[in-house]
Amino acid sequence: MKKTLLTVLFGFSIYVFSQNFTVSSISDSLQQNADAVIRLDESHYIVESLNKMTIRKRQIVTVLNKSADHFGTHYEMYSPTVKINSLEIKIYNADGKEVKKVKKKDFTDESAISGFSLYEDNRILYYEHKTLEYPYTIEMNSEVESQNTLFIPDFFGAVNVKYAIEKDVMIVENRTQSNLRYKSYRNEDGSIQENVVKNGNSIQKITVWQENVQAIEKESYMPSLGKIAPKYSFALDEFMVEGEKGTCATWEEFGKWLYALNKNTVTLSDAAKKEVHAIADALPTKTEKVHALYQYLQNKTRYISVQLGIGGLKPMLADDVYKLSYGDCKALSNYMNAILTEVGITSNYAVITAGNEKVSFDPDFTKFGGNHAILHVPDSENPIWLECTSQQTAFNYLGDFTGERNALLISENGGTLVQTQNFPSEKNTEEMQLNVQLSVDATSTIDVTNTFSGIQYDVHLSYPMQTQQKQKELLQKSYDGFTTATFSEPIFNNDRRNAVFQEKFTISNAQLGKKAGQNFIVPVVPTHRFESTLKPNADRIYDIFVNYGMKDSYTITFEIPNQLKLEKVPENVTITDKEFGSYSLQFIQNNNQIIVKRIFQMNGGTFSKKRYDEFVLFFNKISKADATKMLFQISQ
Amino acid sequence: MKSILLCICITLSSLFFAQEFKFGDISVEQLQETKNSLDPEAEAAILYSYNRSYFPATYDEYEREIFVRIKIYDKDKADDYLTTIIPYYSSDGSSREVLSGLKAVTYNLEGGKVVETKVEKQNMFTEEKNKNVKLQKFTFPNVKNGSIIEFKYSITSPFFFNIPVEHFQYDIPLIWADYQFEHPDFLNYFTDEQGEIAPTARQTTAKNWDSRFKAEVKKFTYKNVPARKSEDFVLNPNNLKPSIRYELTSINFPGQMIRNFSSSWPVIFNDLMDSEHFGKEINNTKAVDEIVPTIINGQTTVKEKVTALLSYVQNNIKWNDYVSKYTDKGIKSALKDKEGNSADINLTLYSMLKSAGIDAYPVVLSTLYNGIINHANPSQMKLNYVIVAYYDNNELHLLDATSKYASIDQLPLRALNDRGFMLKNGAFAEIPLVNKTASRSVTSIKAKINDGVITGDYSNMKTNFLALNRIEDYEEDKEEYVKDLNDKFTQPLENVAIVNDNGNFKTNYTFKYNEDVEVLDDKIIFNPMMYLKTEKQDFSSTTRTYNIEFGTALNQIQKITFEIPEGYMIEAPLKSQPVSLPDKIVEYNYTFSQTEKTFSISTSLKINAAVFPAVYYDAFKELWKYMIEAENQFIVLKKK
Repeated sequence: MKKTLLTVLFGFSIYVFSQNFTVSSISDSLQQNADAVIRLDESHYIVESLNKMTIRKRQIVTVLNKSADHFGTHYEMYSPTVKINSLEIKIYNADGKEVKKVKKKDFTDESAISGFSLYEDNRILYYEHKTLEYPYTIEMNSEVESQNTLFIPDFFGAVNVKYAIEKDVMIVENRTQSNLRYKSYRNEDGSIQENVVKNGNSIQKITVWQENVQAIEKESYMPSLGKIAPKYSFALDEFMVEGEKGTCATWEEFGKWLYALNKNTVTLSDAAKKEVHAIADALPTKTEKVHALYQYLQNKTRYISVQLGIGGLKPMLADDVYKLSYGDCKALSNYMNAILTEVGITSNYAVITAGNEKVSFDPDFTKFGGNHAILHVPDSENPIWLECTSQQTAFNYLGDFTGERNALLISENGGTLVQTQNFPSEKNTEEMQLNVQLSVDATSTIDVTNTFSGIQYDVHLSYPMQTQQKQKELLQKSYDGFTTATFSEPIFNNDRRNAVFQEKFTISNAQLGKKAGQNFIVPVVPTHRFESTLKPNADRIYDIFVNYGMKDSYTITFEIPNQLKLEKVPENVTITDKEFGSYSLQFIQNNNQIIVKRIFQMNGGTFSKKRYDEFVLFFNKISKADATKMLFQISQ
Repeated sequence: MKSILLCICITLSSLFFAQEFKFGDISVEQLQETKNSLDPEAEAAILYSYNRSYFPATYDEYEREIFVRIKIYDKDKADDYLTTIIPYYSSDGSSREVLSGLKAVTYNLEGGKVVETKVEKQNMFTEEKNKNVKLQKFTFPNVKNGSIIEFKYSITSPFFFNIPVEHFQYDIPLIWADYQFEHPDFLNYFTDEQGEIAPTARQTTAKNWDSRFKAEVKKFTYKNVPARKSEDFVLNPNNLKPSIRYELTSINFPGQMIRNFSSSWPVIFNDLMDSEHFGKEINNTKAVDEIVPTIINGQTTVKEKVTALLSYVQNNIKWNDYVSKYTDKGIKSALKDKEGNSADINLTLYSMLKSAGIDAYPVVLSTLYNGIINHANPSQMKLNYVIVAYYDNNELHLLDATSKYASIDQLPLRALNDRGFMLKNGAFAEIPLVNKTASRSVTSIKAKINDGVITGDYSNMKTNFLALNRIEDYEEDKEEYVKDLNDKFTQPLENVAIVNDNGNFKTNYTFKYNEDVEVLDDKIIFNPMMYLKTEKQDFSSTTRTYNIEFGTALNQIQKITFEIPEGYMIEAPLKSQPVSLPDKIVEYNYTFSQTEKTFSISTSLKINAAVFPAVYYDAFKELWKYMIEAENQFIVLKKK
């Protein structure tokens, strides 16, 4: 008996000492490239019942230098349905000696409202460790109890910029009858290890972990970390959120649940209906009606976000949007849905993951996701998609915020995954026309007409919203090479029907070209030149990734004054690559005119890392061609 | 519209103490207006702003009544004005502010009639930002182009020592503002009135406060204040905006001892010295006496001792970004916790200097962001920072240890605000707080050109203020700093050596540069200034009324020497010519010289003061024009 006790104590003490916080115990390979080393990151999700999930976290991080200071800040969120049971931080110096202990009451309590929201009911407890001494180790222990079991975060592995990991563990434990599912992604080499405990067919506990993961350096044109890192996803078939019970065993069922949640929010008052009919009834086609009503929505409303309880998932009443003329993405999409329903047009509320990075829902693994709502209007050929939160954007235009990914359509019959709009490279155009009245002094005048469409439609969409002074500043920044010139007040034309944006203005008193003695040197592409700073890399780790392709066509017409004589017309250039795209630069001489036609198409997609040096060469050749100059002689 | 305003003025002029306009009194004409007459481009305009502070019953708390009316011309551009956030102090303790009477309404014209939409109670949110601050938030419903929105509320506050600053200029035009402060005459306040635009009316009258006392009533009116434009070379844009603030100077209640606060500089001095968080803290050097001898062990001169102590404080107490003239933790805890506010840090340094027997003094000041102190108005509230002064051989030096990398006499921008008040010999002694020592930046490049590519050895040293910013950036993340430096070039830099040498910042590297180098037949054409050229006219405003502030006097010297490639010659020399402003307060020089095998460009820019009166603006513009012209010349090397 005594002996056992001793072993237990002894074992215990070994456990304590094995938690070695000294910096010297970190292997050299992990310290390489790293600003911080995560010694241990353990999170334990215990689903005790459908409305109770306990989350225990333990994180020990050694911060090696100032760049990793963000690891010195720890926080936990809470809300009416999430409470923090315990929270504690300990700080150790480089020798592993405890130098500070921070209790829950010493944490700062603040409201936690996202930048885009007017109000939310989330709060945060946080502590920021301020120090001048590096390295140090910070240990955080917490226990949080949530009434929501809808969402269990993913476990991401392997790829981290600037920090290394000794051990990273996630445990999901299910003590309910609700079926726990999981799925692994990109883990063929088993860098994330798993251990599953089953009772019959049902999973009781799954542990996933990874050890000794080195920090990496970022590369240009690499895919986002979320796209290349191995990961595990988890979900419960039945869940509760903000007191509502739901199911997400399949996308169909999850869609049904969301539909039911929205159902009693779509009623409109008579006054609201009257306005809608006044606009739409006289119009002949469905497209005309949807277009006119979308404009009505854009003119009437603005984006205001308030997220309270189930309001984080459920839209506010359509008729309240009518009265207040504002709402968040859910409210505005749902209101638009109500408007269309009123004039007999079917539409579907759609949940989507918005952002420049294209993130799709996995058709084979249903789990809660998305951060935005849009509206889908089925039509005979192509559906019409409506982004309901913008006052400026075009009808039936999604752009890089929600394009080229799938959305979860919600209808009576449940949820279905549908692909949104595609933006092929050749349609993402910038068509720039420059008419240049060339002058040897700093008095050149350039008339600019530039037209954007496809994914490039919205690059300058916010400009008309600025003051005139600001508009000129923005253009001066965008049209580089004219730092000392004067910009006229621009005329913008936002064709919201066809998603085409045009800007027109004149640059005067421009110093275009270099005068050196009798020589006058003029760049053939005076602005928007493509400049590449990529360097070859034989040790390229990741594939090349171009999020969206584009096609830029410039026509530059130079009117040459008599005093200038062109010595030699530059040679035409053609550069093509079967994968990356194509480039051409052509010169046409015409009396006292020189016309430059320049077309550059860059394709979107993923290209093999083996071709990286060719990719660099492709870019550098174009960069060089764009820098072509014409040499004139000035006659007295 | 104008005539109506006029009309209202006349009828209400007899009721001087009332606000000029009534909440909810909106005319059809106002709603019909589609453009602002003062500024047709404006997306919105503040039609009326009313701010009245007064003591309703007792003198331990006052009430601030606010009423704002805004016309919306273009709702999509005016988003910033459609949501209102009102912060107020609301702690668990007894001293807190209470907000009441909040009302907010949108007015629209519908069928020729004024229709109002209220912000309902359930759409008004009180956010408990943290344990001290609450935010009252709401957004206006049913806003269209042409809508008028207005809100009003009152805040009852016990903090009558300082009636917070109110500004009278915004990013949109302000048509009419009334500001009023009424206080019983046994409370004495001073008016801190600032900015470039004077009120259109200013009046002081008296009325009965209660049966015994009179109240003094101060009223200011601002009309037709245009939208604020941003200007370069202004360190704190708030200094330009008209503003009013009141600060209590004394309480002179009959039958009681007069209590002085900001009544005079000596009173402020004594209050500081009596404070637990200032005078009491520094008069007791016990917390530092033990460690000081070890720190200065082996150092003999004053400068060596100061350097050692400054470095000790910089490396042992981290600044938590809070500015204050009062200690928060106190010297002892700051040393123990290794963290503290600006006073914790600099008063620790002061105590250490005293303990080491150095002739040192604290210097209190108002930070740059906090604004300028008007000497005629002693203000204790406005003093919000403390640094340290000491004498070495009768020469005054300044220290600020909140900046981890600052050396002696190297002050961060926040501490460089007009003047400071040194606590010396029982009184304040004013000392100027400007970067009077010119910061130097000396660059030398030795380059040659080969196949259109320039290869050069770059060497630069920056001193004083110019160095401090770089040092902070560099020490923050050295790897990132070098990476950023590299990113400016298309070819990787070689032999990069960056040194922080006692407050001087030295950079050396070898670069390759081929931008804008033209190799054509028998000519090589390029700008020998390369990436050092000045391109942009920084003085582009047509008028200037505010001082031109550089933050420091400076002296920038650049010398670039090129080897002439074998077989080439210079086609024509570049123009060199000096230029200077009257009194030589600013001088610029571009000199071209050549030998058989080399040519050189030397430039020097001397700005001999940190601040210039606005009248110099046009002269600066001219000088910059010359500089741009000179630095954008191209050399032509021609085959012999």
